[in-house]
Amino acid sequence: MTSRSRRRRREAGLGYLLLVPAVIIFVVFIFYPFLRNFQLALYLNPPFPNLPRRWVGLDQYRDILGSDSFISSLKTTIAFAFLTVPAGIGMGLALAVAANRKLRGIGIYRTIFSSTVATSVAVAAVIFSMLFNPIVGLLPWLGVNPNPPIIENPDLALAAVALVTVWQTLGLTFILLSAGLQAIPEDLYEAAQVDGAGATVRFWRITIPMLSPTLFFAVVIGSIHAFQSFGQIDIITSGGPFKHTNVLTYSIYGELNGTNGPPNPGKAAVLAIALFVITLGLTVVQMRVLERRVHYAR
Amino acid sequence: MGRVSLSGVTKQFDDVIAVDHLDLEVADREFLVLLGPSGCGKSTALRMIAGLEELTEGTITIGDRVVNDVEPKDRDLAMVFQSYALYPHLSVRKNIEFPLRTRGTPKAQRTAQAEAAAESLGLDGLLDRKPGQLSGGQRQRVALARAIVRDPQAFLMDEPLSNLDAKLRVQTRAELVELQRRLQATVIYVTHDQVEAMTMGDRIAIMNEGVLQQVGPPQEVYARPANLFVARFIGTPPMNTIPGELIGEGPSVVIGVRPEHVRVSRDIPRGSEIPASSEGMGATVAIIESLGHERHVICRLPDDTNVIARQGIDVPPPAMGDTVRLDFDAAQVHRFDAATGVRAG
Repeated sequence: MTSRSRRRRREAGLGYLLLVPAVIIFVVFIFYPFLRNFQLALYLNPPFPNLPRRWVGLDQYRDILGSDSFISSLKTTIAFAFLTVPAGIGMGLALAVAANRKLRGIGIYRTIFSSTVATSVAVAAVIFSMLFNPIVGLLPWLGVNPNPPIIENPDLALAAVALVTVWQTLGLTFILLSAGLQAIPEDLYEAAQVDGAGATVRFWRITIPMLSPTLFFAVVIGSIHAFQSFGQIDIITSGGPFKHTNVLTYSIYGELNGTNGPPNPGKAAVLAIALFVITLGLTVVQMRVLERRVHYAR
Repeated sequence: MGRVSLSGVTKQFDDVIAVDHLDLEVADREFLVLLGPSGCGKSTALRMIAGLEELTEGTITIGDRVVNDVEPKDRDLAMVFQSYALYPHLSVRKNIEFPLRTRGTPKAQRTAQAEAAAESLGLDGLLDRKPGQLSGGQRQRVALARAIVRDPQAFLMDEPLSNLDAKLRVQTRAELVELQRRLQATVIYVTHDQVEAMTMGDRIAIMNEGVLQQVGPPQEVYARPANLFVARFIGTPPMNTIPGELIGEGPSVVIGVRPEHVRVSRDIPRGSEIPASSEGMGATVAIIESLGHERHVICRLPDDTNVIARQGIDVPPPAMGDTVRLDFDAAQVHRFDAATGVRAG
């Protein structure tokens, strides 16, 4: 054996050794819970605590996924995604275009626009809870006092939570789209100007197509993000009023913390698998459908 | 087609004056080349004509219209960029159609015009490709097709050949000139390559450090450079300039001689002393470069100034290290003021 191949083997060994911490973290926090979830979903938990669970295989999937509560929760989740993703990307794009100019002091605006990326969901939720608060909030200070209060109003609560979500994700969307805009060569705009294109034509015929890979990426991760939102719902509405903000993640949580009767890990596991499959399916569909409309430079 | 006129045009970036009071008249159907080293302000001047840079001072007129405050899209120009600036997400066809589309040309007419432009540049088979699938030369043609698909007042070209390889550049050079003759187009063409300038332009405008040095037909600029900068910039190899050597003209003169006007005589025996005051100048042969069809003999004067002589290959070559005598016709000698560099008679 030559010294070269011995050294190469030693280097490979070191490489695997360095991977160990990451692998442990992934196994403990991702792979194990993921697989364990599938196992939990095979058991039916009895309606009374402290009784043994029963193996039912795939039998409870149909009951749970066919139930009214699941369907209504799914509808709420989809509505939430429609309230957050287009608005978030639209506003992020507007801010990114506005800030993508060579003006003195524009850096200040870029910093402000991207600042929510450094705000956690919990902080955002608390800030907006205060603003929505009917006693000490911004609205009474402005002299507006909706009755019932916004977060207790079945028609407005989901929109209120969506507003928090849009605000909180705006920083990331802004940064993503700004980076995408800066990657568009300036001479394309110059060529388009000489070719007779005004600002509107340049936006629709140059900016949007050139930005489409970034927009596509933002739509996919925005949708995944919307389907997985939890913190702001827990803090602001706890799924209420009357389950009007009971998105899938929150219904999973409800099955575990005893809001809907005794904790039911089996049912929660089925719901979690459903959420996983829906998110995966949505992403695949977006990849297939949207990607056809995306213009990659090469 | 139209004329383009610049009057007192100045561009200042912070404390740098990129273009300094440029006066230039480009006649209808003229091929004018803006020539100069990089950073001389030629591209900035072109971009001001296009409307891509605002003027600090001065007036630009296209046709009969002062365009200082006219947006680029309304100036009725076409431009070819050094990078070609093709729209990467559009097919070749849509790239060429773009200037027609923005002006609301009906679809049938758009298609016909785009196909005619593509055909005239040999792009017929490539209309449905994306720019990313084309070679450099093909992209350059698409950029040209996009420019000629309309009939604008003038064509602006910013170093359009500099990204092509040497062989393709020579070929495209000739094609561009032919295209300009055929379209009877006004062309303003920016380049740092003096061979392009000499071979393509009806007139050459030479710029240095933002200031226009000389405007004139290529042969005139070559034969009567207005100053030392032009004398040294035009011609390969460049004009020889020798300070204060002309007898009877005083020390404040720089003389210039083109390499083809330098005669090299080998009548001084090797190793003998260089005569100081005889006719012509004594020198030592430092380097001989043979280009196949001609020869460049680089001679060194006693004060270490290099003088390049261009020789035909039918002349027997000197040997390196030979002591030679250099002389030239008084009629072929250019005189420049040593202080200002301006041509003195």
